[in-house]
Amino acid sequence: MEVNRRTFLRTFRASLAAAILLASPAKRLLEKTVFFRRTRALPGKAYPGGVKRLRGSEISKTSRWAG
Amino acid sequence: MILQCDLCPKRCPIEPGQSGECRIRVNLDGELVAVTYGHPCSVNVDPVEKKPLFHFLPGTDILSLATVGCNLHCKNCQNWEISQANPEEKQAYALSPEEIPNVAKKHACRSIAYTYSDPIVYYEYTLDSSVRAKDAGLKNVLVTAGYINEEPWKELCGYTDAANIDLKAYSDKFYREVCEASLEPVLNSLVLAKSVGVWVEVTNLLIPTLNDEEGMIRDLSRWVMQNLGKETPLHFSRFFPQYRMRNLPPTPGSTLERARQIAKAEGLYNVYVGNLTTPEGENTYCPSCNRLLVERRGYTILQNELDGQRCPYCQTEVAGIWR
Repeated sequence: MEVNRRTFLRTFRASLAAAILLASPAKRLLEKTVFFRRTRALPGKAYPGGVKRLRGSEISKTSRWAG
Repeated sequence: MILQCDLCPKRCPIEPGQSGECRIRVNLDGELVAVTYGHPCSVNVDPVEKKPLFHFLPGTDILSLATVGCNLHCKNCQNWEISQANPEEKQAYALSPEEIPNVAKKHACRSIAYTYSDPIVYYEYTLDSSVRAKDAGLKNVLVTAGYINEEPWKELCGYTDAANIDLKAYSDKFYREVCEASLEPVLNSLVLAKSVGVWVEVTNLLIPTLNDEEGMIRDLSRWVMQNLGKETPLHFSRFFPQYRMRNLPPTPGSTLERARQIAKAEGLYNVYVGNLTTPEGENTYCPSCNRLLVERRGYTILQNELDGQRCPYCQTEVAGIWR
């Protein structure tokens, strides 16, 4: 009897976990698509930060950045 | 739809409208877009020695550019203001890959460096620019942490002449705790780059108490020696308190000199000290007769005795791309 209860609980927990997984965002992960080298350039206007034209005088000699 | 970016080992699952950890690879309506493509936040003319590259076109200028973003989050990052920034936080320029070779030539640069943050995250921009640069007779340089998957790395290496790749420590624990990354992909990138003919120099930034222990330095030097070859330049660089690691002091000069001696004892020919001027730490010596060949001070070449690729005294060939 004790063994049967344990088996039932184990099965119940596994079923519950599967149901949660399938109903949650994790399910969508299962449908994920793998991408690389399929990106596209955004037109300048769509860049989320400010964009300006590069002028020669703005190219400094020896950057402040490392590397 | 959630996308997975498989450019780097992090393989970020990206929700619609969100970016990966790098902040710049965005899921826009089910399409993965590198939003900084064609929009560098920094464009400069640097001495090639600053990358650092000591065995690659010495004394020349290199057009150096970067967009914001990085796939690592090193607590000690020296360029965190751009590497850890979101695109909307930084002013950028409009500079297409087609325009880059002309800008380089106009400023008398023989090569182009994709640097400062990490060219891996703005991969498509780096690659497209590299193709244009090759067509224009220019050389391409990557300054990177090398945290990238094999397939895209192989493709990019096909257009790359030289790379300075950080090996931040020969310790997976260090990569996980300090950089939010892992060691093995970096080692793989180093070996792959070398095997396909990219001129590789390695930088190891020594941080007091974290990766400056003698055994760690010896292990790292040994790995470079055994996997990349004894001629591979290894730069031990000085740490300065930055970003989220302001609690530690700058690396003492004695630590850097000790590291140099350890690496030389392991058999490496070309070991340098960076971010610190020392009497010998920036010079290149002949691996055979030990005569001074290239004398440097900071980013300046004081003398260059090389006869093409060779030592003028004993005719030994010195590894590098010297012309």
